[in-house]
Amino acid sequence: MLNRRSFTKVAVAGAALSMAACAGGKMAKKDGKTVIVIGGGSAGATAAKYIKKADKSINVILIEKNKTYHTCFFSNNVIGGISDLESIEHSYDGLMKNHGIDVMHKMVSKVDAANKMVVLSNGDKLAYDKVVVAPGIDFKWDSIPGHSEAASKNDIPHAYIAGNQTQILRDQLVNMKNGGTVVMIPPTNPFRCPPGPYERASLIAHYLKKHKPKSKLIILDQKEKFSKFGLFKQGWKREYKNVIDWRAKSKGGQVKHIDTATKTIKTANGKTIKADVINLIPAQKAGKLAFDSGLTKGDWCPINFMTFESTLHKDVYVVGDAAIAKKMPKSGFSANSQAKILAIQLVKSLNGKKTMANTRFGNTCYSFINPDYAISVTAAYKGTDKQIAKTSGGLSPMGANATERKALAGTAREWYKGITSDMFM
Amino acid sequence: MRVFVWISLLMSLFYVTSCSTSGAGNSAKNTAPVAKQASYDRDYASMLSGSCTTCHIQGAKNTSKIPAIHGMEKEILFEILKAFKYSEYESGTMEKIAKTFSDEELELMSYYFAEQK
Repeated sequence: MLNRRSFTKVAVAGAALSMAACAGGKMAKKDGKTVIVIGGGSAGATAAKYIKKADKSINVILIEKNKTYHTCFFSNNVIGGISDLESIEHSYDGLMKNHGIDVMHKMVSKVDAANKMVVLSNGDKLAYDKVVVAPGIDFKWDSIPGHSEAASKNDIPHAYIAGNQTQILRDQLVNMKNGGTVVMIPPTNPFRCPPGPYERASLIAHYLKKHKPKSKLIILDQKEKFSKFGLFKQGWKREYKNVIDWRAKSKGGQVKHIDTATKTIKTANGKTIKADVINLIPAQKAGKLAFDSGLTKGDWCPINFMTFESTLHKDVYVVGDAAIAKKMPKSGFSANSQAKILAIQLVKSLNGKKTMANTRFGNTCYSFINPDYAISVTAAYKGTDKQIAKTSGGLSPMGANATERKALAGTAREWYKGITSDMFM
Repeated sequence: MRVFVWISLLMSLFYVTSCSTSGAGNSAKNTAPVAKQASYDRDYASMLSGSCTTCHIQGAKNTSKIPAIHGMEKEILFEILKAFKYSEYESGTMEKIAKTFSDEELELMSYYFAEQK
């Protein structure tokens, strides 16, 4: 609890709270309980909003390093030239104005769970009653020999955390000659947005087919199969037969080495490929903050499947891509769905009430083959002691006709408005 | 396909209802009062509704492919949800989602959304 003692001790938190109290005038009491949410993506933004909605007396502080947020979902539309970067950019104004959440744009160095403090990179400390950690993903830079974080900055973009990286990949495609070779290297499992690389391949192919028809896209996969496999393969056969060349790991896909300076790739089966543009999406792990705060076991963060509280530290919750929320895929939709349940459970626990024993979740991932052709996978889930179990779901039908595929593309665009409104408004 | 005809009918009924009530003016008493049940488990219904609010925006216009469900009449929403649940046609999202809920849960959600403005 942010009592008088810690209030005077923790200057930054004090300033932040009194500011919020003045701005909103809605703060029930200055000595209310404090929940800090770290990370303003799909998981964090939703958690902050729904915690505040559940109990307005809680001081909710959202700490996010960037001033605006670019959604990873729909960033493939930017890469494919269908929309621009601004169309996926969102501000935190809605969370501040509509909900009275105190948004701070700061870097966090770690959560000090023993002392219930969030430590900022400038050394300031903020006391919390409960903290939500939603750091998203980080990359394993050495997952492909020869690759490095430095190479990813400008030359070999991952474009898998949206924003500047998205624009770099887009610009490289625009500047590429007609007749160029684009190589995409998707990661091993598990990773954020399982259909993401394959939707991206589709929309890059859409761009090449239209503007640079002599060009090719080779996908060197580090796996044998991927999400919505049948639907993507069907779509590619229909739309991009002469553009996309997908190679499974065992059939020439496995990459042995990459020379990032010359954009030359050596595969495990002895082939050398010279590329003009490379989109290498490295293997992934939980965001750095999770590791620095002692919240990981292996690459990701173990949680209680009913509440999202870390199994390693009390009063610390982990949600979204960084959490082990098996069997849910790591997606923006999953993160949003999880965050709403987390909010209910966290507020109940904070107010000394029994947490819910029955929890439900949903996830739908829409993928574009082109702007008039979408496919989807939907599932519903239920929280249990051992996992978040799938209860129903399925794919959009292989037999969908052109009208239905176009209608689904329209639904996908409406879905984007829905989820971003649920996160930020 | 039958489910679509059924759902379309129900939806158009809803729009007609909402038109006529809004046409009566804000000051007039709502002629088709929202079904309210004080005793239903609002807490549980609110939890369930999290599965809906990712896509269905509160205060959305009904021109969207994803229709507004906040403030919809309870009986109509309940019938639509059941139609999705028992549909054999599974092309869309809602058929897959609705199947996971019991009829009682679908009714709880219908009460909950009927109360939302």
